[in-house]
Amino acid sequence: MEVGQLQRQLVDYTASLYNEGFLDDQFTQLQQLQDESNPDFVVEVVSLFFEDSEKLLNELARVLDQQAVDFRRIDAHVHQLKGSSSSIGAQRVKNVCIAFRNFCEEQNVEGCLKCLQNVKHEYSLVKNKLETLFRLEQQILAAGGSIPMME
Amino acid sequence: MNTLMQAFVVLLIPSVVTLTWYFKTRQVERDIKLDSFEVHNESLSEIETIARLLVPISSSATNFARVMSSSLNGIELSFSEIDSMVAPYLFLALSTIPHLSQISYIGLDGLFFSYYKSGDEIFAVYFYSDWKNWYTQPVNRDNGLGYGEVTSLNPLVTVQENWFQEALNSTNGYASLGIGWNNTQERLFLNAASVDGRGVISLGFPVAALIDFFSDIDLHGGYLYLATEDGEVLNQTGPPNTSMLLSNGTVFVKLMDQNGDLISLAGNISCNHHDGAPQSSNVNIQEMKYAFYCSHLVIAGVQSVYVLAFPRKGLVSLVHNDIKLAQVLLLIMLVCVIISIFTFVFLIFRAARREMFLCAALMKQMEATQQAERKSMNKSLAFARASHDVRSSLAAFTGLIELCNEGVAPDSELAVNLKDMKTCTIDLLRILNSVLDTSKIEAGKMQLEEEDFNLAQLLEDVVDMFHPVGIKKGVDVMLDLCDASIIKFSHIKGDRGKLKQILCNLLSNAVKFTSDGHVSVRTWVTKLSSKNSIIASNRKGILNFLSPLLCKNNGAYDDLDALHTIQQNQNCMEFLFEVDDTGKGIPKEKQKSVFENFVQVKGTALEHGGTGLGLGIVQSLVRLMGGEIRIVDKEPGETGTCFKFNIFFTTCEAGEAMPVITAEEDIKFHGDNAPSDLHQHIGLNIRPLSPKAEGSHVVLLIKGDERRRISQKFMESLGIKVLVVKRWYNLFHTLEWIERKLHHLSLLSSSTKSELSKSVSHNSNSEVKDEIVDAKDGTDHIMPLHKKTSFRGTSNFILIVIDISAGPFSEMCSVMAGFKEVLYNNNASCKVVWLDTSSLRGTQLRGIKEDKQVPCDHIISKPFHGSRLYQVIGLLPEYEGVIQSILSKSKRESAMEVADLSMDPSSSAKHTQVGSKSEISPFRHNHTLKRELIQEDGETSSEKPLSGKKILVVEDDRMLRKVAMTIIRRLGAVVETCENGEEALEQVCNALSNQRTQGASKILPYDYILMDCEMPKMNGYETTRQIRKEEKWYDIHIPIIALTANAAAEDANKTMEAGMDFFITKPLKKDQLLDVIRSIATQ
Repeated sequence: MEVGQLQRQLVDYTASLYNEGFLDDQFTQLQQLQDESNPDFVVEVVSLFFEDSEKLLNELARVLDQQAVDFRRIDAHVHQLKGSSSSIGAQRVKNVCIAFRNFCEEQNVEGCLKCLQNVKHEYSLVKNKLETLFRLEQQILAAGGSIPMME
Repeated sequence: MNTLMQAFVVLLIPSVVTLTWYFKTRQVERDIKLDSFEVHNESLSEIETIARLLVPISSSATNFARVMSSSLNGIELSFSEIDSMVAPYLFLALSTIPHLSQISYIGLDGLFFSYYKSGDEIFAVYFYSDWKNWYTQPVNRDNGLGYGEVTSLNPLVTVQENWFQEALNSTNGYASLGIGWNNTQERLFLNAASVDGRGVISLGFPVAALIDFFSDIDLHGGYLYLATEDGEVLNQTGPPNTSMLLSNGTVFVKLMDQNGDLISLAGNISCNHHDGAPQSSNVNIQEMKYAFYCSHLVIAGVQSVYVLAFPRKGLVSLVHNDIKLAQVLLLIMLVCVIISIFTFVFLIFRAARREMFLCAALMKQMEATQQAERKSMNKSLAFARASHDVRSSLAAFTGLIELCNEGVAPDSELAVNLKDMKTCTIDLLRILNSVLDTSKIEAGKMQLEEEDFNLAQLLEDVVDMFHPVGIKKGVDVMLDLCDASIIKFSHIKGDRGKLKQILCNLLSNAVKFTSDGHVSVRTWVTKLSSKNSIIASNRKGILNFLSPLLCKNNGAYDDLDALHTIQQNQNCMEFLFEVDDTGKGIPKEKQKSVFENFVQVKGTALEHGGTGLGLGIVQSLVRLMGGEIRIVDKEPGETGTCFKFNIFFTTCEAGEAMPVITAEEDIKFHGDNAPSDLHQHIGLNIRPLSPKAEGSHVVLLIKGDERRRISQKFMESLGIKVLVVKRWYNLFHTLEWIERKLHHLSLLSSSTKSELSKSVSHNSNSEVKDEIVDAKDGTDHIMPLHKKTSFRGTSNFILIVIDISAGPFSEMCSVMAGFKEVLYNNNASCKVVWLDTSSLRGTQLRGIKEDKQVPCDHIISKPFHGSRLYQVIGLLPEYEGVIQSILSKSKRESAMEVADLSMDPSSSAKHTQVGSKSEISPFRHNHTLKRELIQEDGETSSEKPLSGKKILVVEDDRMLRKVAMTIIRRLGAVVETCENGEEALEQVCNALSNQRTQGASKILPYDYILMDCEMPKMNGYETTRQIRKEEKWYDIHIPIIALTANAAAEDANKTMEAGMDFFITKPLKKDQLLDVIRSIATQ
C-alpha cells in the first residue's frame, strides 16, 4: 500500500478514536512525550497498561466471584484501573470505572458485576483499537514513512 | 372505659350514702311516729287510769246502802227516827266521802231526808210523808243539827222517777246524771242504791269536780271530748270551730262557723272496737290533720265515751315533711352530680381524643420532617458527590475549546464562536459551582481554606473586575477605604476564595440592579468589640498575677495556653464591608427573605435571570467565616441597597508594620524632628506640613460625585489640601485662583527656582520610569529616596487630577496648557494626571500621546481608587517614599500606563507593552529561573525548564510511573522512582545520610518529590509524615507534591495536614506540574 494512503488512514483512524470517545487529550500528551530518545514510549506505556489492566480485571472477576465480596479491595483495584486508564487517555474505560466505584460504594454486587462486564468490554474495544493503531503505525514505518502527528 | 368505671365508682359512693341516709331518716321518722303514738297511748291510758280511780265512787252508794240497811235492821221508820237514826249517817257520809256534795234518803213510805252542800253551807231538805211539803233548813257544819229558819220549797223528786225505780230494783245500785238541789243547779253524778227495798240512798257527786281530773291530764296539745252514752256532753274541748256529737257509738265531728252554725261534717269516728285498744283515725279539719281516738269509759258508774284529738302538726309532720323535702333535694343533687360527672367524663373523653389525634398528627409530621430531612441530606450528599464528575466534564469542555482555539485562525468567525462558547462554559461552571456550593453548605461539607493573602489587593481586584461592567451600564464602581485602616491590616489569614466569592456575588448583584449612579465598596477594620477585649485583658491580668503561683505547681500549661489564645485573639480583627448601590433597592418586607435560597425579589427574575442562590450562599459563607450579613437601612431620600457584613480574620505578624519604619527613615532624611501628626490609621508617618510652606495642592476634577467625594475625603484624611472642581468650566477659575496665590507667594520667596522646577519635572519622569522597572523586576526594596532631595524646599507643588470624561477634552487641554505656562513663571511645579475610565479610551489616549501640546504626566486608565490613588498621592513630594514602600510591600505592580511627553512615542509604547506583559505573568519578581520558565512556557516546549533538578517520583502503578518519568525527563530534570512509600522513605533517608557524610547537609537531596496518595504498604500521607520527621534532623524541607485522583477540598486538606506542600489531580499534566513548581519557587 502506498505510504500516503496509509498515513491518511492513520489520521482518519486516530480522529475516529477521538471522536468516538475512546481516547482523549491525555493520549495526545503521551504521543507528544515520544521522541527519538524514547521511540517506543507510547507502545511501551500502552502495553504496560494492557498487562496491568488484564491482571486487575482478572483479580476483580475473582474477588467478585467470591461468596463474601470484599468491596474495599474492589474499590482499590478499580481506583487503580481508573488512574491508569485516565493516564493513557482511555476515556471510556475511565468513565465505566467511575460508575463502577459508585456501585462499589453502594456495595451493589449486581451493579459491580454489570460494570465489570462493561469494563471488560470497553477494555477489549480500546485494546483492539490501539493495537490496530499501532499496527498501522508499524506498517507506515515499515513502508518508510513517518508518522503524522496529531494536532 | 376506665374513666367510665371510675365514674361508676364515683356514682356508687353517693348512691350508697343516699340510701343509708334514706333508711336512717325512715327509721327516725318511724321512731318519732312511735314516740308520738306512745305519747297518745300514754294520754289514753292516763284517762282510763283516772276513770278506774273513780270506780270506788260508784260503789260507795251501794256500800253505804248496805251499812244503812244493816243499821236500820228492819226498823219501821218514822220521821223522828229518820231524824235521829238516818240523818246522822247521812251527815257523816256527806262529811267523809270526798267530792260528795249531796246525799239523800228517799223512802217508799214517803219519808225523805237529804243534805246538800251549797257553797260552804250545808242544807238539809226533808218532807213528811206526803211528798208535798218540802222544807229546807241550813244545818251546822259540825254536827248536822238544823238551825235557823225552815223554808218550804217545791217538791224536788218523785217516786216515779226512772232512776228511783231502777235503784230500787237493782242490787248494785244505779248511776245516772242529775241536777243538784242547790242554788247553782249543778250537774251531778247520782249514784243510788236501795235500802232493803224500802227506800233509796242517793249520793251526788258534782260532774265538774270529777271531770277536773281529766282536765288535769297533760294531753300534749290534744283535745278531750267526754260524753255519756246517751249523748250528754260532759266535757267539750276540741280543735277550733268544731263540735262533736255522739250518737249510736259514733262520734260526728262537725265544722262550725263563728256563730255556731254548722258548715260541714268533717268526719265520723266509730267508738266500737273489736279489740280493746283504741284506733287512731285521721280527720282533716281546716287543712289541719288530726288523729282522733275514741273509746268507752265508765265515770262514777256512768257509761260514757271519750274522744281524744291530737293535731298532726307536731314533730311528726314536721319531720315527715322535712324528710320528704330533703329526699327531693338529695335526688336533685344526685341528678346534678350524675349530670356533671357525665359531662366531665364526656369532656375528658373529647379532650383525650383530640390529644390522641394531635399526637398522631405530630408523629406523622415528625416522621415526614425526618424523611424530608433525610431526603434533602441525601440529595445534598448526592450533589456534592456528583460535583467531581460534572466539574471534570465541564473542565474538559473548556480544555477542548482551548484546544480548538489553538487550531483556529484568530479573528475568524469560528474563533469568535469558540470564545463565546468558552464564556458560556465558564458561566455554566459558575452557576454549577453556586448550586454545588449550596448543596455543599447544606451537607455541611464546606470548609474554610486558610491562607495568607493581601486583602487590599483582593478588594481592588474585585472592584476593578466589576468596573468595566459597571461603566458599560453607566454605573461607577469604586472602592472606598474610608480611614485606610485596611491598609495596615491588609495582610491577613483567611479564606481568600470565599471572601472573593462573597464580594463578587454582592457586587454583581449591585451592578446588575443599578441602572445609574454608583456602586461603592467600603471597608474598614475595628478591633474586636471592647467588651471582649476588656474580658480578655482582665483575664490576662488575673492570669499574670496568678501565673507565678501556678508555675510553682508545674500546672500552668493550661493557663499559658489560655494566654496564648488571648494573644491570638488580639491578632484577630473585625473587618467590616459595605456594598452600597443606588439601584432600585429591596422593599423592606422582602429584606428578610432575600437571604433565603431560591428567593428573588419579584419582577427581577425575568429581567435579570439568575437562580436566586447568590445571597443565600453569601449569607452561608459569611456565617461560615463567623460574621453576619444584613441590609443596612438607608436614609429616606436615598435609593438603593446597602449590604453590610463583618468577618473576623487574624492579621499576620507585626512584620507588616514595615511602612512605618520606612516612613520614619523618611523623616530623618528630611531632618524634621516633629513626630506629630501620626496618621495611625494608615500606618504611615507623614512629614508634617510645615506652617510656613504652603505645601502641595491637589486639584480634583472628577465627574462622579461619589468618587470625587471619596477621593477628597481620603486625601484630606492624610492632610493634603484638596481643591475640588465640580464642573469642568470651573476648572479655569480654580486654576486662576491658585495662580493668584502662587503669584503672591513668589513675590515673597526668591525667584531662582525655575531651573529647579524644571529638574523636578525631569526627575519625576525618570522616577516614573524607575517605577515601571521596579514593578517589572519585582525587586522589593528599591527605594528611590535619592530622588527626594530635589524636592526639598519645594513648597508649591500642584497635582491636577482630571477626569477625561468630565468635559470637552480639547478645552480642558488648553486650560491646562495655559496653566502650565503660568506655573513656570511662578516657580511652582505641576503634574497632570488624566483619568481615562470611559469607553472612549483608545481614541483619546492616542490623541494625548500624539499631541505634544497636551500637558500630561500620567494617564490612569483604570478606576481611580486603591493603589492608583496611592500612586497619585505618591506623586506629591511629601509622600513619595512612603507610598512607594507601601506599594512595593504589597507587591503591587504598577497599573499605570505612563506616557512621557519628553520621551519618544516608540519607547513609551515599548514600556506599555512590557507593563502589560508583566500583568499577565505573576511570577515576574523572583528567580531568574522562573523568568526563564515563563519565557519557555510562552514559546516552545522543547526547552528543559527543570534541567539540573532532581525529582523523586513515588508511584505504585508502573504505567503512571513511566508516564510521569517521561514527562519530567522531558522537562529536563533527573528522575528517580519508587514503587511505594516504604521504598521512598528509605531512599530519602539514604540520600540524606549520604549528604551528611559528604558534608553538604543543607542541600536538598531531591528538589521535589511527587507522591501518589494511595499506595500499597505505606500510603502517601504516612510516607510524607515520616519524611518530615526525618527531615527535622537535617533542618531542611523538601517540597512534596501530592498526586490525588480526587479534586475535593477535603482531600486537599488531608494532604496539607500530612505535610505536603501542594497537590495535583491525576492525570499528571506538564502544565500543572510547572505551575506548581513555579509557585513553590515563589514562596
